[in-house]
Amino acid sequence: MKRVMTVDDSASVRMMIRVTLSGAGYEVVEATNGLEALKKLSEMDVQAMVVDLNMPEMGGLDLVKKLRRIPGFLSTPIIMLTTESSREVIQKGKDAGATGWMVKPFSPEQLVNVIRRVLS
Amino acid sequence: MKRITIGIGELFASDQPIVISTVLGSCVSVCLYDPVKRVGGMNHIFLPGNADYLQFNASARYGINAMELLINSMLSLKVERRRLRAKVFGGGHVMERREKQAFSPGDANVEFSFRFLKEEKIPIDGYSVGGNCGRRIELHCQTGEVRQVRFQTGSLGTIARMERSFGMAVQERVAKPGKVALFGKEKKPEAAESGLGPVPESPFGEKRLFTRDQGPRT
Repeated sequence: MKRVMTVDDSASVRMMIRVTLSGAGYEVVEATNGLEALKKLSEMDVQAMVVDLNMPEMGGLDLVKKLRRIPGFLSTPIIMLTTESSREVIQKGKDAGATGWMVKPFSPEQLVNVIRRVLS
Repeated sequence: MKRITIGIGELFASDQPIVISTVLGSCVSVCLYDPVKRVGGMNHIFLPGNADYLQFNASARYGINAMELLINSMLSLKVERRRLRAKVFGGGHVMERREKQAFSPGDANVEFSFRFLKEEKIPIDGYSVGGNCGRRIELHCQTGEVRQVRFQTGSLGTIARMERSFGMAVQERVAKPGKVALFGKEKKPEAAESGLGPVPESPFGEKRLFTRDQGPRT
């Protein structure tokens, strides 16, 4: 079973992503911010990540930048899932090394489609 | 003192001596406050139906997003999420009394708000919900104090019609597929390779949500 990590400071959003992706056959692990994600990633492998932008301790952009400097995460699909939709911020996400960008509120079907697509 | 009025689907947050006000029928306003940074924020939400927190239906997704927009607006003012405290107002039985329907939008809005705050571990310092009345509320951003006036006559009919109209618009909005862009190696994000559509200027189409940098009418 492929494992997807959701990184979001909102418990409701993490629950929503867990319900959506576990229903599509993925194992979902959770982290509440970038630092916690890095700690968990040192202990387990994940095949894809769904990352919020604005989080305490370490936000999504900083997390992506750090991960892209680690050899094991150079090509791990990382989807930014955020309320932010300005082109400037999206460009920052792309420059940081994100694989894609989804604007909340998301459609569960689209999230599953995107994860399937980046893992194919 | 500067005053800001927000309408259905809007929000506002500030660290300035500003009073945010709104008028509620079935809708709910969640007022958030950080007592250390002295930052207050208010939204005005109306869900198109009962929010299912097990299946995360469209109403739940819409509501969670509305709450997250308010929280993010507060976080942009250097608020710490763990310090947030809440007060909840609204959810009056306005529409069902007027339109004699069984489903209670007010109850749905209230139940969602309390569930969300519970899941997010945001303590509720006070609330005034339900009843056959409308409410005008005012939040003082720097103190977190809320003043409420309840009313049972006057504009209740107009409020119910506006809420009904907004609810129908929300139903159409939440039915649309999510927006996503996958970044190609050589392409700009707006022309991304996803084939799933470009990222929109705003996830809410023509209705912009107000932030501290985009003040609404005063």
